Amino acid sequence: MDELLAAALLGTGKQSGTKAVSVQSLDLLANQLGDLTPERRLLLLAGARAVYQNAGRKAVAANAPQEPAAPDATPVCSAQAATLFEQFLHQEPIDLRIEASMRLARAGQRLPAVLVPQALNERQARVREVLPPVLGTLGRWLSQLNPAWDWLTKAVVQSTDADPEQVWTEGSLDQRRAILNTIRARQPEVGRAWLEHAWPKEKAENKLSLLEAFHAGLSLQDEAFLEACLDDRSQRVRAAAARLLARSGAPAFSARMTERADLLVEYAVPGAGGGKRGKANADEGALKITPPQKFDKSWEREGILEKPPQGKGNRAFWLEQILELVPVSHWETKLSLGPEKLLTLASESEFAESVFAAWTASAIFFDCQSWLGPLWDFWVDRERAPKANNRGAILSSMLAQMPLDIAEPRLLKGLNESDFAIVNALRTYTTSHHKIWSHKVGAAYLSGARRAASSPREHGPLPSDDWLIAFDVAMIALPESCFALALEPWEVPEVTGHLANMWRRWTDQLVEVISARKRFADAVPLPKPEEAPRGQKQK
Amino acid sequence: MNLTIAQVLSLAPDASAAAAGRKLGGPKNWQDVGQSETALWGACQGSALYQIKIDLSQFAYNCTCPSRKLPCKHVIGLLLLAAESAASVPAGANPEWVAEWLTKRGARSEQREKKAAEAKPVDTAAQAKRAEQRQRRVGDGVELLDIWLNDLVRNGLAGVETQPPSFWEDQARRLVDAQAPGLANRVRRLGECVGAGADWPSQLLDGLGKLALLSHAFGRLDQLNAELQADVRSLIGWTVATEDLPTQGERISDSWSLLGQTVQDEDRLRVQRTWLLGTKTRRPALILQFSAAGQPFADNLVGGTQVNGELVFWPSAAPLRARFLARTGETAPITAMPPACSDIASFFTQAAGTLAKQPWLDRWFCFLENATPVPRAASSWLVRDAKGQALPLAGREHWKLLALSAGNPVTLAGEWDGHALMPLSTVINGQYCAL
Repeated sequence: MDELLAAALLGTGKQSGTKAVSVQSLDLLANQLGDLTPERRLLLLAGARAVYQNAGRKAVAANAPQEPAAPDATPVCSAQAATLFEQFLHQEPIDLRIEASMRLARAGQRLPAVLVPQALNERQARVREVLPPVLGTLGRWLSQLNPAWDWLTKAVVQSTDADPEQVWTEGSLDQRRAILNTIRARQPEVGRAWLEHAWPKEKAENKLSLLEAFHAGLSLQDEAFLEACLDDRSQRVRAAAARLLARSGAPAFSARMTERADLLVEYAVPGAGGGKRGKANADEGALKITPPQKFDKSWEREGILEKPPQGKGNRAFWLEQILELVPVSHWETKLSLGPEKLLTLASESEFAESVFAAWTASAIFFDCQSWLGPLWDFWVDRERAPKANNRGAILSSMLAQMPLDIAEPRLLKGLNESDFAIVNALRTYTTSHHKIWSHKVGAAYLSGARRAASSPREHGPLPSDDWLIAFDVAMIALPESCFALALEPWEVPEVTGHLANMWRRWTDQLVEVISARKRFADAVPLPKPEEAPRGQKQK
Repeated sequence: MNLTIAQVLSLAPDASAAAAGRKLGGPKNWQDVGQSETALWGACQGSALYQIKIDLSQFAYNCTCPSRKLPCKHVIGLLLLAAESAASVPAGANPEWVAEWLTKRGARSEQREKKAAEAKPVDTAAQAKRAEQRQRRVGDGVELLDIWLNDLVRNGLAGVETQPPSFWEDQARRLVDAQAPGLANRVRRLGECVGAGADWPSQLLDGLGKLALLSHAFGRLDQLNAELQADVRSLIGWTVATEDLPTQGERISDSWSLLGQTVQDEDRLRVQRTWLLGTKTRRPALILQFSAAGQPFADNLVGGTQVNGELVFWPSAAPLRARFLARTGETAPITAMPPACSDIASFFTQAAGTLAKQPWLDRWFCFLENATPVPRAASSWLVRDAKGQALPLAGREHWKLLALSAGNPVTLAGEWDGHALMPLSTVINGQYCAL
């Protein structure tokens, strides 16, 4: 501590002796001022020194800075697109910036430098997945300088030439799952060898996560390994391995499952009776569904649980689990009946609810597309559909598997009839899978919503606010071809009340979001011919 | 009209006004739009049809909407329309309602100047008496300040941390009563530095010392040159009347680049600091504006623009603070930086020369070329010149600057406070970028 500061802290009144404080090179100045009290001398010297220090400041030497970022040949987007993107970074829904990032990537453009730090601060995983192409070389360079942005470096490592085996042995669980998925797609036997080697030391949670990557490159060659997994201590691991075996069509496993299931489902020939109503149907025959009477402990090896969830009976629960592991197409072959006929017969059974749930899950899991349409038609038919609390979720799951030519006419029918279940299913599906709607579906939705909006108190069979539940996804799922339709004026009756207010709020928000999407689309024209967005199916 | 979108949005009084303005930035919101060399105009349908007119030379504006936020969302929206969709704003002659407004503005401005030029009958005796009274009050206040400073140092600064805030505030109030508000503000700022940071005793001693130098200078005012007298009086709290400034201050005409701007809240006021550099004269200038919360600043100054005009400087041994006397022509964007200091050593030489003339300067303009930002994890970032010398940057991180530079040397404009540089702007690829 220097003499001046020490004296100031202590106080001149406590200094012993009369020695005046001194600052070399300034004493000459101070002495010119004549007699000064110690306090005044100290203060003036301090002031002068402060000025001298400021004036005589020297720069510090600094090491050579980091290498600059490599030049980037990708063109930067327009100022208008950049301004809109910056808005999207700070507003909901996040799908705005997902869509904007994907559009920029398709247009072969990147963000201007000024926006890159803001984009790197993105926390949402779904947005991070699509950002790398638009961040360019500058983004990768910056991410190496800031640990908070290393997510980008890791994403790049996963997608380029990082040593796969090193990632497998040293990476995080997410990285290992991703690299296993990649290797299984290219060299399934190598991926299987990795997992077999690591298996004994992995925790149950890790095993479960890594088995998710095993669907890639799945084949009969995996049978031995997966059969061994059925001896794992964790029920969830066993169940996951069983599903993989089922999907691969492994002969031994399939034989066990079909043998087990065949005991539960029989077809009574016409005239034999046995339907739900106890009436013999001379023309149609009947499906005799006989759930297991007791639980066989050997089933646990295939991950089948004994104790049902609350609200479900034991036998029904066991029936469903067994039937789910058998491709639903098996029943066509075994019973020589088509899906519609089998479903009609199943609907008359005492256990219709369980059979429908199991066959629907099986059709989705085994991708039995010929069943999806008939199943859907049953589920939406209020007269014939079995009871289910989660009908919306069931329909939504089916939508994920249904090709456009099967799904679209059914969606249009439901929307045109203002079927709330269809609206709900569409919303659930869109929320889970983040898909853009087809033009017809978008137009039908808007048409139904406008009908409801124009009479929020007195709309027909559909409760008048039910269209509103899908507005939040419609804002993002409506395709570009529907923007003009969405932006036509909305007629909400000039009445007061909560419902009318909700309609006004939601329609205003819809218009705002669609307007923003349109402005961005106008600011970033796509090269012709226009391709379908990568990784997106349209419904 | 040559503003960028970012520059337009910087005019908005707050974020919600900017957002509301963005919503009106599309052509579908506007009718009867047009622009000429002097003005931009349009009409926007809200709850009524609002007419908006903008004087492009001064960025003055008028809107018939009742909003109290200025500039309103309609002004922002029209400027955004012109910035984003120039084709939607056709060139043409000023319509009558715009020409009439411009004429009235010109007439009001002439009237103000005429009024200022007209000699008012002055009661010189009363004026002299007031001046003498103030001189005496200030003198008494400074005397009491000296006693207070001496007591502080006699008792030692070590104990000052335990003093209540009233210790500083009471002294500040006494100085306000003595008509020395400048000294009062210095005392308040000294109180704020106690306990703030590990080196607060050193900072406090420096501040107390410079305060003592100021009171000492006041005591021998007649021995100082006229410019330094003006500085001392200004620092104590005397102001130069607006009508006297054109005659007392140095006047310089040039094309002025507005190179950086900050807006801070100080004591219930918003304070805008705009740094300018003359293209021919290479003179730096600082325009200070004050406004009550929610009110616009009197002069619309947009960072990143170039303005032809005449500045008048407040009298000083190192003139820096100025205001526009007249602005001519249309405001244009800066497309290239004026010449800057080639390295940090040159800047420090300049700074030393300025301090030699006016030792109480707290902040001054730094304009450095070939400056490379250097990020550091655990301490303040640096900016490094071509010779390997570096200055610390104020604040924590400067990712925007690093991204814009991409690690390459850039020309940087900033505010230096004697310890660290606050970066304000740079120009990349011909585009001004506020930091």
